[in-house]
Amino acid sequence: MKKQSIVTSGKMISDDLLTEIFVRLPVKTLLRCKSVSKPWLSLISNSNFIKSHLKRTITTPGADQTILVFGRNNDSISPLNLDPPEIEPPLGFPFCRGDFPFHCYLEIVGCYNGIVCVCASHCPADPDIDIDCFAKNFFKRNDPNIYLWNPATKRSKLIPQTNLRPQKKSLMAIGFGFDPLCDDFKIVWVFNSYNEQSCPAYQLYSSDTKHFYAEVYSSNTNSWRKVESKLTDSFQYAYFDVFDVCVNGLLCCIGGSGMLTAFDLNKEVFTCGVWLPDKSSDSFYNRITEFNDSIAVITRNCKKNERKRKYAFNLWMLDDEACLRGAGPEASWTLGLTIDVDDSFPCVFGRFNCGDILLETDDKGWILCNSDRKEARDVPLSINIHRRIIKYNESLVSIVGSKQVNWNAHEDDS
Amino acid sequence: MASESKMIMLRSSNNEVFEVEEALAFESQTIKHMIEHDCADTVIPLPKVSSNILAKVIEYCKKHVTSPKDDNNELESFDAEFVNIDKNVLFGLMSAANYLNIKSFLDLTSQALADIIEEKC
Repeated sequence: MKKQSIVTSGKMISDDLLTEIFVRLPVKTLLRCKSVSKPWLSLISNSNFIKSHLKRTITTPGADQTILVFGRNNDSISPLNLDPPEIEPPLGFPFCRGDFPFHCYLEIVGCYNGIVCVCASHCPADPDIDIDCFAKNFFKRNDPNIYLWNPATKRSKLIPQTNLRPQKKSLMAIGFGFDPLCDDFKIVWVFNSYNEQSCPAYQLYSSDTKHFYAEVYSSNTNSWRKVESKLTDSFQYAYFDVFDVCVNGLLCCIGGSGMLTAFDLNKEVFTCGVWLPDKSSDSFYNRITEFNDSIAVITRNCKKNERKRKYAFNLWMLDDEACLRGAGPEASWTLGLTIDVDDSFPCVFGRFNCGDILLETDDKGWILCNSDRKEARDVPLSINIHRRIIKYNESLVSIVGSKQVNWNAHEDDS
Repeated sequence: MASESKMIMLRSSNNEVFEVEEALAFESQTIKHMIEHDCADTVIPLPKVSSNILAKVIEYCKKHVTSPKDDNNELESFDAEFVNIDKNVLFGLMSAANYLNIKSFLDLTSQALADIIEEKC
């Protein structure tokens, strides 16, 4: 490989111009460019360059067409492009082969700025195990390893164990997001200190918030700290085990009360709940997502006339995040898009740029609907995701304390 | 358009003077700024741009200013051919695009150089 011929002979290339070129290159190429020369290594490793590169990646049109999907029994994670529909090879693992010799079961907590927060747990190799049951209780039953992983640079950090929990409690909810104000990746988890023997199951969903306990991990300090703020009433988390999405540093979910509630990653407090728009919608199908830098929710309305069912999916944007910080439960929402679909029982999963919504149909098929062009096209792939859309972009972002994790021994250590 | 368009004189680093229409010169935000703020005399000196580079920059701007707006295919093939040159010259063009602040030209030349690096790396 004639690396020297790339460098313009004689002249010193200014960093400005090199940056202009490098921000257009994919991560894999930049990783190789690191070994061309010291100035190139220095520029590509520079945190400001990494931020510029990430910003350009995210704002390029068509950038958010890649989601993460699981392999069979969650034993692998692969990127899937929606346009054109194509599954890419699996991403590898956030640990070296020797570190995890058993069957592993992976669950994704979230993905931002190219960093995937993934939990890995030993999975019994028993083929008769009810994998759906295992999945549903994954976070509640297991004590998984949690990693902050950049699959593009193949670097990963195992999150340290917390010393804080006074006694073993049951993990009820977990979330991962990015706090832009502190430039910090954070994980929050919520525990319930119920005792399985003495406490009947229905009490799991009670609003008795004194049994709840939460901690937050900060990658900048590499430590856990207790969340002092009390859980708010709206946060009865009966319907979920992972926070849906992080928008502007707010980790959002729909609480058991049916209200939108959030954890503020920067202030490390739970927010109040606000009512979702459109109380006439089928609330089971409400999904929190992100749209144009706002918190948004997709609701589904069913119109039963004639013999066919017609569904309308509406995307609503929250007008002001500040209402989550204490103004009261009434919130103002703006209707952004409406998509009418003729099909049997589609669920709704997430949304993409340019007003596309991904829908799962009755027979486990997938369609991508576009509100502008009023068209729906099939996605002829089997997409294995657990209710949430997790978007993925490659980045050079590095977590302090991460290490190289090459699955194959013969791969370059670049 | 009653009057003729105004002509601007540009002097390269090796003292060659190029006369161009104002509309064309205004593709460069740097030149536009200098003229609008009266920072230059009749001739605008461009000490960082050599003659052969300046000639090519003018050729690019001329094509983009005079082409009809909806003829994207023709512009695309023009652009592709335009950057199909020796990488040192290409780098000189990118440098000039940056100095003269011609966004579309900077995008074109940096992307072309990125493509070369990607191929070689």
